[in-house]
Amino acid sequence: MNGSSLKDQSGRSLSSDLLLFSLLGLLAVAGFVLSLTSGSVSIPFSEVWRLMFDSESSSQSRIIQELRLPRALAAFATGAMLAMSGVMMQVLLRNPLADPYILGVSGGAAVGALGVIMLGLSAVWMPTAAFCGALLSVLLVFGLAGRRRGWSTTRLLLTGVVISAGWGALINLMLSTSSNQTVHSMLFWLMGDLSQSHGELWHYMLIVAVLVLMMANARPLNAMARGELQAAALGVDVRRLRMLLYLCASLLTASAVTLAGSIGFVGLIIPHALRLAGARDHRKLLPAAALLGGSFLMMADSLARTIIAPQQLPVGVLTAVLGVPAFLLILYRSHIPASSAGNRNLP
Amino acid sequence: MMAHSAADLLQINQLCLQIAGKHLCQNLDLTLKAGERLAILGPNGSGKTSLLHTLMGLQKPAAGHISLNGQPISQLSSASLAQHIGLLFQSALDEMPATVMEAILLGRLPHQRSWSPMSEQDWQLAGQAISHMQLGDFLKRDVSELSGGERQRVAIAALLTQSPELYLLDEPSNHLDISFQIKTLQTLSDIVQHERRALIMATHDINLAARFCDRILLLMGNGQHIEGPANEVLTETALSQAFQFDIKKITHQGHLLFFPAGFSAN
Repeated sequence: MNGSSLKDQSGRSLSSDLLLFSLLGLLAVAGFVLSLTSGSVSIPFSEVWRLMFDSESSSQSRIIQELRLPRALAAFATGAMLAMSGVMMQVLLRNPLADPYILGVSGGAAVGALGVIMLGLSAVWMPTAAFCGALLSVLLVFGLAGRRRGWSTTRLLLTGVVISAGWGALINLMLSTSSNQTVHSMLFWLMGDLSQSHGELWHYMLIVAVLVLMMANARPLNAMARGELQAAALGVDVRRLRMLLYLCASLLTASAVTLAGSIGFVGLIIPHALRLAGARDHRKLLPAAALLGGSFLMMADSLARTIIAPQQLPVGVLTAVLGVPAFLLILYRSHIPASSAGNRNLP
Repeated sequence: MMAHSAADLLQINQLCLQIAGKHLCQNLDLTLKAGERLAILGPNGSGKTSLLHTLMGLQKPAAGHISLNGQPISQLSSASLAQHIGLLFQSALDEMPATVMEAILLGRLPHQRSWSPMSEQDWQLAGQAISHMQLGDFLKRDVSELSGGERQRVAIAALLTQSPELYLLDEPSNHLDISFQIKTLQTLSDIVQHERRALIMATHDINLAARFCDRILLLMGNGQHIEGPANEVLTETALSQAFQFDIKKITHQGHLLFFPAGFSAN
């Protein structure tokens, strides 16, 4: 086989990449429109664009500008962060079950946030408390896993899972000792809810910064996904990359959890769905995950607001309800095996 | 220290390897010139893989120096090391799914920046490797669907695509059928001789070593070693002592053949 015919073959895959990203772009626009038009007050699509930049503050323009737009953006940011973090955790641990929460980041955040609710403090403190809890958890796992004999994937995974279980026990303790009233808002937080979410500029900057940093390391990430030893033999500085992955993924997860509580499922299924669809090169996978994760969460949140309106559901319920069938469909229609069966499967 | 001459690709001085307190090899001195092929033979656990991993910079020696083209490898970054040395692992652990094409193109990683597009040379090397390993029909398949031998061919194609100056092969004949064992080693051997590169392979197949290598490093399993031209090291006495098994040598149509006869007297 000569080089130019190989090159032609990959040229064809370039056009399929273009198709993938056009579809994802369209999906993001659709999610955005859906998110702006759905809610208890019906505002037609034709009006939305005008209202978004309307300087007179009618009640409709205030709904768009002050409620729905920030919520749509926060949903997109949260989804993008979770999906990217999922991709990174799966490469770091090379475990298909890895998700953004596997190393206990969400547990720490939850203890922080529930602490605020339990102490009856103002809700303004919740993001700060959640973020501090998440960081504490990251430092704890990082410090313990790196002690003495240095890191290994197994040590990191086990430390994270154990710390996560510890947080789980604390959460249960808080739930069981709180009054009925507070338990309800605690459960909403735990299931993930975007109704109080307000994305700050730094959330969006963080997404862009991590994306740029990871894209600069995309080829080493491809090697790392094949195994650490193999990556090291190809000249990848595995220790540095591992650290970078852990810190960036944790930071993204901590920010996402701070924004919207622990929304499940996005960080697990979005990366797998894209890999099954053939986007396994991290130069495609990372931006695609950000787009799909963001769009998916905007859509799920729109449904969460409307499905039993005027009552709102926590979006975490919807991500699972939509995600489970969608993922199973992709899994069973795909021809590519989901796991790398080093040991071959029985028929 | 020995003087470095221009043709010396690899120079090993007084190298000692240790694992869990056990001495694998002691005071190893070895110089490999461009165009040379060396086989490492020895019983299980005698340090063949450790030696290859040490040369690749994946583990640190207990003592001693290794230099590549006159430069100590401890001073080279892992990235620049990978531009000159390539390692075929004993068994490919494909931890996440990848297509054959993706796995092979990854071999170019040491020569690329994250955003540089594939160069003409990248494509050409990949194309040649795919032809050599007869993988043209497999490119879109997932690596985890392949048989053991097919995976080994993918790993060898990735190494050929990496195109290093020094090929380190850890049991290259693993899982390969007999025709691919010969074809693969013939291909590598030709590249090494025509392009003035070098090859070190760890193997259990004494016959392959005798057929394709100029020099042999025989690790005795007790920290001692014998090193020299193939016809001097590959004797019934030395082999039988190293493997604690009676090994006989016969000559057939110009080929040296070794076969196990039975347990040795001790």
